[in-house]
Order: sequence, then C-alpha cells, then structure tokens
Amino acid sequence: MADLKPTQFLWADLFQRRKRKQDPVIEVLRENVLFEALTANELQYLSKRVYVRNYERGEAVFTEGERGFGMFSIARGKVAIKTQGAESDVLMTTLEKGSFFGEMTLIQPDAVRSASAIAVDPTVLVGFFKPDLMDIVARKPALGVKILFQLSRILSERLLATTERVTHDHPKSA
Amino acid sequence: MIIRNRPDPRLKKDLLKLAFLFAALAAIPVVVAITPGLFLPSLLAVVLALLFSPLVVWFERRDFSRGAGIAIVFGSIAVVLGGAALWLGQTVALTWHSAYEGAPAFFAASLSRLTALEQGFKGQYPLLQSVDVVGTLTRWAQGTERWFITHGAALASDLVLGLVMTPVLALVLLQSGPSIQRYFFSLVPNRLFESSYIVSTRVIGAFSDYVRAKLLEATLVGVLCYVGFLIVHAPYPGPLALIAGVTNILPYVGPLIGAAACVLATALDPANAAYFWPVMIVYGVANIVDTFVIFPVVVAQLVNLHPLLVVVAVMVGQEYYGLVGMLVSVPLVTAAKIVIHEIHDALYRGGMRTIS
Repeated sequence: MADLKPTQFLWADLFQRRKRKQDPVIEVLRENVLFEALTANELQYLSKRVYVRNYERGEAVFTEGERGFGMFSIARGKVAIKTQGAESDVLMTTLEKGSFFGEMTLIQPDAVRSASAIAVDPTVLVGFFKPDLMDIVARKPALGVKILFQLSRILSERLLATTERVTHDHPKSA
Repeated sequence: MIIRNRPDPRLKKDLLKLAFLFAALAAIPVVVAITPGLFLPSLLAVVLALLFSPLVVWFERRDFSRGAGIAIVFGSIAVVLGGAALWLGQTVALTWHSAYEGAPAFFAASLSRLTALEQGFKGQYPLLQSVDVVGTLTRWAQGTERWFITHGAALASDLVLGLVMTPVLALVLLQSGPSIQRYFFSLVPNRLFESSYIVSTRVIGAFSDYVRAKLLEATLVGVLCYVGFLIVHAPYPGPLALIAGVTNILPYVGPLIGAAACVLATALDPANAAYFWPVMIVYGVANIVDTFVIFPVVVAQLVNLHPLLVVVAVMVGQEYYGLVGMLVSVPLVTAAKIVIHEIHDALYRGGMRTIS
C-alpha cells in the first residue's frame, strides 16, 4: 500500500496542487462497512479526521481493562484479539486488512476495552475516535447521522447473530 | 520457580519519541520568549480562534467549506471593525481639539478637588496626616507620562504588529489548527496516544468553554451597566459600560478597576459629581447580579473549581505574570485538574465493562 501520510499543513493545503492519485486512507475507509454509505466527498472529509498509526510486530494497540475512545481499521497487517484467561491469554480471533475493531467505544461512555489487541505483523491502523465523531455530528450532521446509523445497524446485526447462536446452543426444552 | 521480567523492547524508543515531542512542544514558548512582541498577539489569536470557532461551525453545518466559513466570519468582522474604526476616527477628530484644549483645565480641577477632599479627611482624621494620596497620584502620573514618552515608539510598533499579527495568527489557527494538532499527535508513542488524545480534547474544550463563558459574562455585565447608566442619565454611558464589561474579565480585581473608572469620570469632574452615587449604585447592582446570577450560571459550572482554589490561582497568576497571569490562571488550573483526574481514573478506576 502507498505511504499513508496523515498530516497536511496549511501550505500543503493551500499552495500545493492536489494530486490526482487516490488517497490510501480513503481506500481504507471505503472498505470499512461502517462507512459504506458515505459519498466520495464525505470520505474525503472523514479522511482528514482519522489518525494513521504504525505498530511493530508484537506491539499492543490497546490492553484489556484500559479506557477506550475509538475504533481502528486495519489498513495493513494483522491484529490478534486476546482476552486474559485463568492461566494465560486466550486468542479470540485474528483480524486482517479490511477488518475493524473497538467500535463500541464510539458510543459507550467511560468504555473499557474488553480484550487486548496486539499487532501480529508490522501493522498500519486507521483510528477514528469519539471526539472526532462528535465534531462531525456538530459540523456535518448528515454525515454524522450516516455513521451512527451504520454503527447501529452493525451492532444490531451482531446482537441478532449472538441471540440466534445462544438460542441454537440452548434450545428451549419441550 | 524463577520469574524473569522481560524488558519492554519498545520502551527506549517510546521514551525517545516522548523526548522529541516535548522538544517540539517546547519550541513554541521558546519562540514566544525570544520574540516578546509575539506573546500578546499569540494569546489574543488563541482567544479569537476559540471565539470564532462556533461561527465557523455554524457555516459548516450549512454546507459551507471550512475555508469559506472562516473567510465569511473574518470578512464580516473586518467590515464591522472597519466601520467602527471610521466612526471612532471621525468622532475623535471632531472632539480632539476640544478635549486637547479642555484636558489641562479638567486635570487641574480634578487635582484641586482631590486635594480639597484629602485636606478635609486629614482635618477630620489626624491619623491620615502621613497619607499623601495627591502626591502619590501626581508622581505616578508624571512617571507614566515619562514612560509613554520614552516607550511611545516601541509601544506604537507593538500595537501595529499586534493589529496585523493577531488576525493572521487567528486565521492560521482556525484553518490549520486541526492539522497542527494532528502533527503533534503523530509524535506521541502508541501506548500513550489514546489517553493523551482524550485529555487534550477535554483541555481544549475546557479552555474554549471558559473563554466564551467569560466573554459572555463580560458582555452581559456591560449591557446591564449600559442600561443602568442610561436610566440614571449618567455621563459617558457607552465608554463606562465598555470599561465595566472589559474589566469584569479579570477575576476579583476587575470590578474594582471598573469602579475606579466610574469614580474618575464622576467624582473628580465637578460637572458630573451629581451622578457619582447613581453610577456607583448601577455598578454595584450589576456586580451583584454578576456574582449571584451570571457567574454561577454561565462560568462556575464550566470551571468546576473550589472558590478557594480560584482565589489562590488568581493570586499566584498575578504574582508571577501580572495581568495576563490573572487571566490565564483559572483555565490553566482547570486544565491541570482534567489531567490529574484522567491520570487518577487510569490508575485507580476500571470504568464500565463493555463488549467491543
């Protein structure tokens, strides 16, 4: 993937001709189901409010029990999601490029991470945080509503899937 | 069983990143320190940026771009200020000659009235014989006059620099503030990123709320005073109300400074002496309303500090940085409280568990 450059100064914004090639951050956001309903302009606007972070192999993105304020999309690499078991860490899943995690903290007040996320390979993540979501809701209400609506849809789908799994695993007795 | 503590391989690199971040942050006060003429314009630019930000947001909500919103806000303010400057210039030009001619007589009459008052008090209270108010004021006025004569040119150039730099810096902060913030956050080590991001967001929010709340409070006090001065037909209601509002920004001593202006305008001018008590009553009522209604509703909830802490902060600010220290001490203490609260929560509180 092309280099992800998260920062642009005033001079680059005003005095440099905009390059025609696609911003890789926008590509990452476009692949995220949370932002699938956004237009090109909205993705462009959103790309200036996310943070690109680089993680080394084995580096923790966040640790179980610490406070969380946003979600991460995987632009490159792999992230292992682990929880603390009785004797050692338990691997729940490994996420790859295109996946995202931590989205619940966007809407939960005082949310605490229920699992640890650790980079398996050299990983690039695109972080989207609650203060930026609130700022988008204030400045671009239509865009904020789209994101919140998608988030609600994803969470309700997961709840439905969990309910079905629980019902399947524990059917009602006759 | 031997338990080996594995050293964190990234700790050294993260410490270097932190050192680089602090060095980058330290560059700002260093630049301001070596160019003292930039300090006040920078501070005013930050205040202006915080003040105009809601207006820019208002335009963004109506599908204007950020740049267009900033241009409209600054353009509108430039037109208003330009018109005000034109009106003020014409008014000053019309009244300058009479003020210049009448000033010596005004000051002489004020001095003789003050001397008479002083002699009267000394006659009634012999203990006050050693007090020399008129002499002290005269020496202070002469010293101030000499200071303005020697520093007038530098003052004028600082004023021009401030008038030019303040709106330029405010515009840069509004347009590129988020980009500058993002650059500094790109320097933060990953393990501290989220917590430092949320702390800085809350601190900036607290600063913004405090600045807007104090300006709203000052405006309300100014309007109250203006209405009151109009009701009692006081002289110079506009300038006195403006002084009352602006000085109200200073915690605790601001009202006293504003009252001093009222005293000067009424007690020392025989033509306006009859308005002294009505003006003081209006000023007192406005400050009572401010203390018991405006401040608790508008400012206190945002500051959320113990009143004793506010007093101490203002005193320490005044001791080390004078007037500017008094202005920034309360928001700085509020910011420190947010940081301490976050560190405490991170160390001692687990928070609500959630499925993510």
